[in-house]
Amino acid sequence: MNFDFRQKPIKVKTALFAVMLGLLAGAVLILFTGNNPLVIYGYMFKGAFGSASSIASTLRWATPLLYAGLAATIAFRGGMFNFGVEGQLYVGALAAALVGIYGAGLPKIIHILACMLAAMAAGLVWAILPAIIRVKLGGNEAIPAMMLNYVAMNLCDFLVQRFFLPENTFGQTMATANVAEQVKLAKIIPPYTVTYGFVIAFVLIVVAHFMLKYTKAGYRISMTGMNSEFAQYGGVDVNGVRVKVMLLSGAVAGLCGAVEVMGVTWRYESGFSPDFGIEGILASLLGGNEPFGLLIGALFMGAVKAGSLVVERSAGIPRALAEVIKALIICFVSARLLSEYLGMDRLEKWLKGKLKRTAPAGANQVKEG
Amino acid sequence: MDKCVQMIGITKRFGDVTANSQVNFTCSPGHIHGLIGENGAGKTTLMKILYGMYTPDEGEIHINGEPVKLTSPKTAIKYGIGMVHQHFTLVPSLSVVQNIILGRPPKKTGDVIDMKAAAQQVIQMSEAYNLKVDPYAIVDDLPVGIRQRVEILKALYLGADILILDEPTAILTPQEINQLFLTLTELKNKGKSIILITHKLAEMMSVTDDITILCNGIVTGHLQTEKTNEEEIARMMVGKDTKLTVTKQDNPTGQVKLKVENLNYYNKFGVKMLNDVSFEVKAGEIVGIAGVQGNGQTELIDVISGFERDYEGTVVINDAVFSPSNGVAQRRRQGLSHIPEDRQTRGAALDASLLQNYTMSNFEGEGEKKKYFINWGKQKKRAERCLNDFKVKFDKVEIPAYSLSGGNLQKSIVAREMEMGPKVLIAAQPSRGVDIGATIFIHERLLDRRGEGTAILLVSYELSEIMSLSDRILVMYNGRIIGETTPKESTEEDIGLLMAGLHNSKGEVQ
Repeated sequence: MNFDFRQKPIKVKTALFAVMLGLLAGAVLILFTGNNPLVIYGYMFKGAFGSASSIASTLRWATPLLYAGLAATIAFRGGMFNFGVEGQLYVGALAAALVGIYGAGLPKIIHILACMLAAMAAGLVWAILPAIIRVKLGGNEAIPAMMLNYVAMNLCDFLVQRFFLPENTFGQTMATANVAEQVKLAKIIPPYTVTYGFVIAFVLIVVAHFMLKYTKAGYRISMTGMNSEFAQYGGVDVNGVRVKVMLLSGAVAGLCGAVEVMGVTWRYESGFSPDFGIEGILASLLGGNEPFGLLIGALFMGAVKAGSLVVERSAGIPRALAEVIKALIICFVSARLLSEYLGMDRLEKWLKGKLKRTAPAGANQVKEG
Repeated sequence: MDKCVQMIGITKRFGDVTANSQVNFTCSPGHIHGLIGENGAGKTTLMKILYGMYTPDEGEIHINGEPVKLTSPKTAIKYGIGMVHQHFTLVPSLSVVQNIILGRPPKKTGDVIDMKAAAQQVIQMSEAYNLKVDPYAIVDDLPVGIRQRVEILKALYLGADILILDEPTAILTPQEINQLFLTLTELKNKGKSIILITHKLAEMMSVTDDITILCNGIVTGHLQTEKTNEEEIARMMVGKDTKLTVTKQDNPTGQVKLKVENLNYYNKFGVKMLNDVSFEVKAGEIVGIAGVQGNGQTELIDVISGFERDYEGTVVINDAVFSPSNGVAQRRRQGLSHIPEDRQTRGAALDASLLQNYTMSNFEGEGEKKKYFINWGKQKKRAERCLNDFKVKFDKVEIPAYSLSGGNLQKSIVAREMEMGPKVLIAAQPSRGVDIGATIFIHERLLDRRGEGTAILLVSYELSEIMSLSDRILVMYNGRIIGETTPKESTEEDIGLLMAGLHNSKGEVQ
C-alpha cells in the first residue's frame, strides 16, 4: 500500500473554529449532566490560568506534550507517521531513570546530560524498526510503530520487575528507585511541579522552527513531506530523509520520558504516561505540524487538562468530560471541510467583501483549460 | 433524430473567474463544429454545461427550439448529447461490450443481463458507423485509438445525436488521427452533430465545417472553415497576431554532452520497458524522441535522470560516467536539468509556495556560500527575476503553486530548470496543456538554450513539436530506438509509421 502523505497545512482559522465547536459541543454535554456550562468552563479556566498554581499546572501538563508533539511534528513533516512516540518515551524514561540511579558518581552536568542522551538513544533505537519497515520493505510504518508501544511498555515493566526493583517494594507500583538528587530537574515556580524541562522544550521548539525553515536539511524534510516524488526528482535522498526524520523523532520522544522522570516522578514508574504519546501527536496536528503551532496546541491541551482536574475537585464532574471535549475538538479539526460546510468561508468572504478585499479564487486544484 | 442545439447567452462564473461570458453557440445536424481557444478560454466549461455537468449562471439551452434544463449528464444523455472526454472513462478489466452497455444493459426476464443481445447491438453499431471493434476484447489490451472508438460507441449506444469530443487527438498517432477524422465524417453524414474541442489549428482546418473561437470566456469569432485560415483563427484565439511555430536556424554542435549506452530496464510488472537503448546528444543540438506514449519514453527519462535506479547500462552526463548507483543529486550537479512530464505530481509540490518550488533546483548547487542554510532573501529575488523573465503570471512568490493555472505552472517549471544554464536538459512534454502563446514562448527559450550550447533531449507525444524543434529525431517503439531521422528527411507520416511500429515507407527498418 502506498500511504504517501501529502500534507495540506491546517489553517489557523480551521483549528480555532474546531476548538470553538468542541467547546460548544462540550457545553451541550455539560448541560446534560445537569450543570451550567458557564460555571464549569469558569472552573476550567480558573484551574488553567487562575493562579500561579494553575499556570504551573498548565505548564506541567503541557511539557510532555511539547516533547511528544515535537517528535510527531518532525516525523510528520518528513512524511512519516510516528505513532510509536508512546513506546519511545517509555524506553527513554527507563534509560534516563537507570542512568540517573547508577550514574551517581558523575559530576552533575555530565550526569544530567548522560541521562538525557541515554533516553534519546533509547528512543532512537526504538524507532529503527518502523523506519526500516518503511524504507526497505515499502510497508507502512504507522502500525508497527504503534504495536511497538505495547512491547515497550511491557518490556520496561519486565526489566524493572526482574532487575531494577528496589528491595522493599511489595505489590505496589512497579517502579525503580529514585534517581540521584542531582539529576532532578529544578522547578521554575517552586513549589509547583513545572520544571526546567518546560524551558528546554521551548528552546527545542524554537530550534526546530529555525531548522525547518532556514536550513537545507529542513528544506529537504519539508519537501519530502509535501511531495516526495518532487523531492526525489529534485535530488533529495528521500529514503535517507525518512529514516533520519524517524530516528530524530524517536530521540525526541525518548527525551520526553527523560524529562518526565527527571522532573516529576523522579523514578521510572509503570504506566506513568497518561497517553502522552497520542496526546502529543494530537497537539502537533492541532498546531498544523508547525513547531510554534505545536506550542499553542500543547499549551491548550495542558490548560484543558489542568482545568479538568480542578473541575473534578470542585464540581464532581469526572475528568472524563475534559477528555471528551478534547476528543471532540480533535474530530472537528480533522474534518477540515467542516468549516466550509458550515459556511465559514462564505462568512469570511462576506466580511472581507465588507472590507472591500477580494478572496482568492479557485480551490485546491491547478486550473486546466 | 436530427437535433439542432443552441446555447444562448451562456455565462458561467467560478468565484471571481468568469469562465464563459454571454457565449452563443449553435450546432446543427450533419455538421462538425470546431470549438477552439487557448487554455482557460472556456471551451471545456462550455461543453461541460452542454453535457449537464455544470449549470450556467445565465443563458439558455434550446434543443430544436425548445428550452431545456440540463441538470446532469443523465439528463443530457436523455436529450441525445454524448461526450467523449480527454481522459477515458473505460474500465480496463472489462470487455468492450461490458464497457459499452455499462449503466444500461439489455435485460432478459428476471433482470438478467442479456450479453448476447448486447454483443449483437455492439456489432450492429460498429458496422453501421464503420467503427470496427472486437466486442469481446478486454479494453486493457486495446491500443488507445481503439479505446477511443469504444468511447464513441458508448456514447452512440446511449443514443447520442450530438457528440462532443474533448481534445480527442492528444494521444493518437497521425494515422489514428486520420482514422478518427474519417469516422467523424462518416458520423456527420449520418446526421449526427459533432462538436470538436481542440487547440490544434491544423486539425480544425482539416475536418471542421465551422469554427467558434473562444478567448478569455467570450466568443471572438464564428467562422466557416473553408473561408478562413490558420493565421486568422490564431489571431482570434489570442487577440493579436502571433506566430504559429518557431523558426529554427541551424546551429553548430559541440561535444557530446549526454550519452546513454545499453540501457535495459524492467518495470515492476516484469515488462521490459527499455531494450538496449543507446544514443548521444551533442552540445547545441536538440534530439527529439518521437513515439506514442507508453513505449518506454517515461522510463527512459527516469533512468537518465536517476529517479529510477534499478536498471542496467551507463549514462554519461558532461563526461561524468554514472552507474545505476548514482542518484539524482549527483547527476544534477553535473549540469543536468529536467522538465518533467507530469508537472503536478513530479514537477512541483502544489501545496508549497512558488518560492519553495523554485528553490528545489538550485539549493544544492555550488556558488552557495553557506553550507547548511538557505538564504531565502536571495532565493526570493532570484525566483522573482526568473519567473518574471518567463512571463509567469503571479502575485508574489509566496503563493502556493496550486493557485497557478496549468500553463503558468508549466512555465514556472520550465523557467526554473532552464535558469541555471544546464549542460544537459531533458524536456519532457514541455508544452503539455499549455496554450499556443506560451508554447511558442517555451519553444523559443528552448532554442535559445540550444544556441547557448545546452544539449537538449526532447521527449514529446506531439509530433509537430518534435518536428519543429528537433535537429535529429529518434523514434521509440516498444522500448527500442527503431529509427533515426531528421525533420528534413522525413515527413510526419513517415515518422507516424515508425511510431506505430511499422517500417518506413521505404520498407526499411533502420
